[in-house]
Amino acid sequence: MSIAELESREIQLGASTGGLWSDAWQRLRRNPAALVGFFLVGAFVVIALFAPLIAPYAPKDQNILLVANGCCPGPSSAHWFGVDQLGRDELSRILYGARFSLEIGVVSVIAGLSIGLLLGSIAGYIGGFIDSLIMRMMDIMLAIPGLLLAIGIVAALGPGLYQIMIAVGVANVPVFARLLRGSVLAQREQDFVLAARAVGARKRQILFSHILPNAISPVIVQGTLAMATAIIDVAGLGFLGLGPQDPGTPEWGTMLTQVDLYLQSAPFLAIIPGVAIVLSVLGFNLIGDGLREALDPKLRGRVGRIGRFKLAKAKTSG
Amino acid sequence: MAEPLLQVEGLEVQFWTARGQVYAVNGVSFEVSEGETLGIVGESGCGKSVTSLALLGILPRAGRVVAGSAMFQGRDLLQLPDKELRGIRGKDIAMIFQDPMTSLNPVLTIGRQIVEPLETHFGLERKAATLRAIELLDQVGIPSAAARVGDYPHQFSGGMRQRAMIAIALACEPKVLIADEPTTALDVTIQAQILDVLRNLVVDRKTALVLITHDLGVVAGTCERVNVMYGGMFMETGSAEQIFATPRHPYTLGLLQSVPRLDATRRGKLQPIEGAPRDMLSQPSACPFQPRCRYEVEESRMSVPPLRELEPGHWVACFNPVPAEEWAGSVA
Repeated sequence: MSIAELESREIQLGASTGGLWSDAWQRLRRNPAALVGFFLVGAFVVIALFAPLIAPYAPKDQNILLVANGCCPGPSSAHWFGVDQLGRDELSRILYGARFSLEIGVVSVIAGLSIGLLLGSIAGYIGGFIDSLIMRMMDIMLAIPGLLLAIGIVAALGPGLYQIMIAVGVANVPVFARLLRGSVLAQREQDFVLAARAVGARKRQILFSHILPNAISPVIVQGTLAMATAIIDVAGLGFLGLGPQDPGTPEWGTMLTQVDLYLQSAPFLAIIPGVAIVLSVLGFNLIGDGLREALDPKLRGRVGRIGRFKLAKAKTSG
Repeated sequence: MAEPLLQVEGLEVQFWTARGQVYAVNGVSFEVSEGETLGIVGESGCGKSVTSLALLGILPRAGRVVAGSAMFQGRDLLQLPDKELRGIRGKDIAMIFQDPMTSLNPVLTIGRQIVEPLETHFGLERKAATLRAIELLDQVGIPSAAARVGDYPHQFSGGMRQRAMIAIALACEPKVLIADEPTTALDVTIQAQILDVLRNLVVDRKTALVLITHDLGVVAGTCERVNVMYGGMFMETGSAEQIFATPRHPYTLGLLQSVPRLDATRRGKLQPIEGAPRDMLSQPSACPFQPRCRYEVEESRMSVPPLRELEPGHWVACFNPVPAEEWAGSVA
């Protein structure tokens, strides 16, 4: 066997199916709800990334003339979603708003996830006193409802974009820490971990290459679902006036709260950001649920088995 | 006989559990030399696996070695700090686990798992290690090894997984190989192939093999010396011939009589051992087998029988050994 042959083999490996993730992907692709989720989230991400190219107007451009005859003109060909109380194009503001939700959601979830991952795996793998110490701290944090904790943190740090990221991230830490600890505890007792110890593998090596890859799938599911929650939390904090302090910032939650005076005359100003929030949250939830099913080890290989069953039936009937 | 490679003396292992202290291994001694195969036989829960885990220092958290020594190349494995022991695990002393279905990591390729000990102990680079992995898979009889090295465990059959486990254990060419029920989860045909792989290893590489099993047939065909274990102690020790031809301990006899035989007379019934293995929650103060024994005597209840040499190399821990003709007579 030459190195060259080996390399060609490696290339084949990349394309071959059979790994945990490719299996999961196969199953995910067959789940219509998850596909809808992917579509919604995909649209959300594209909008967020390319908002300046898509949006017909700048989000902060005011045109008071449009609202001279009372608030507020509804959808028209020039302004598809109408304009708000200051004559700003609602569509452009919604499109730009996606950037805030995505940015805050991603940053806060990644921050919460990494800190939770670290704490959870340390607690689960080392155990003993350190485990108790970390987990009691997490319990204290979990005792406070997530949004309330986030409000408290923003109240302490002062309102603003970064403060929201920190607040939502911190509120996520105990959730991930607890999830991962349980998962690590379960994997730690697996035979293959014992087998890895028997070949003299280092503790770090066992944790990173044997325990974590097997413990991570519930975290990925939770991470997707946490994205949905983060978007709601961000909108909630914005709604409570704890969002970005520049009132012109097109943040969905803030937009909801700014139009409370016009709910009767222009309900669409509340409905449109509301729908935007619902759709993005729905997208992440659908993906999360789909992933949960796809990564469930009990369902692994299900697609293959159904296929074989059909084949067998076709053979017997034909 | 040559200097023994691994010499275990008076090994005692206890577990601290919610139900109390468990006396899992109560003073076990054995030795194994280069190119020798030693069998340890016993039913589930008699302390076979715990013995091997204790030697490698990978007991579960609740377990601890309380007494004994295990000399390997002038060092006592039971006293070594974990760091040094880790250098021996997998390199000089390797282990094959009983369940090939759960002992391989499902998210890593087979090749990756064979490479692990090589990287750990020899710092081999990935590419060179992968070549070696292919060589090893080929050696344990996996067809088109080069094509299978990148497969995941679930793409392997049970027998192939067990071969892969053996390949992992062989990666660093260990001097001592502990095989814990290596064939239990496999079909008979595969069993024979796996045993063949192990046997060749002992002959070609002079590996010292400790074969742990509950299968008397496997032991009979493979081992030179056999230890029969019950309740965390050795009940009988001898050459395979002595154990199978003239068992002297009632438990050994019971084990042999529990195996169906084709050459037995039609009227001859299987004689199972009555009762269940003793729970290990108390320190043994009598013969552990006494409650189930047909040959018990007064002394069996009073104290633990020591191993006594009844004939050269044949040791039995019993106050009232079965007459040598007992089993021989029943077979004839």
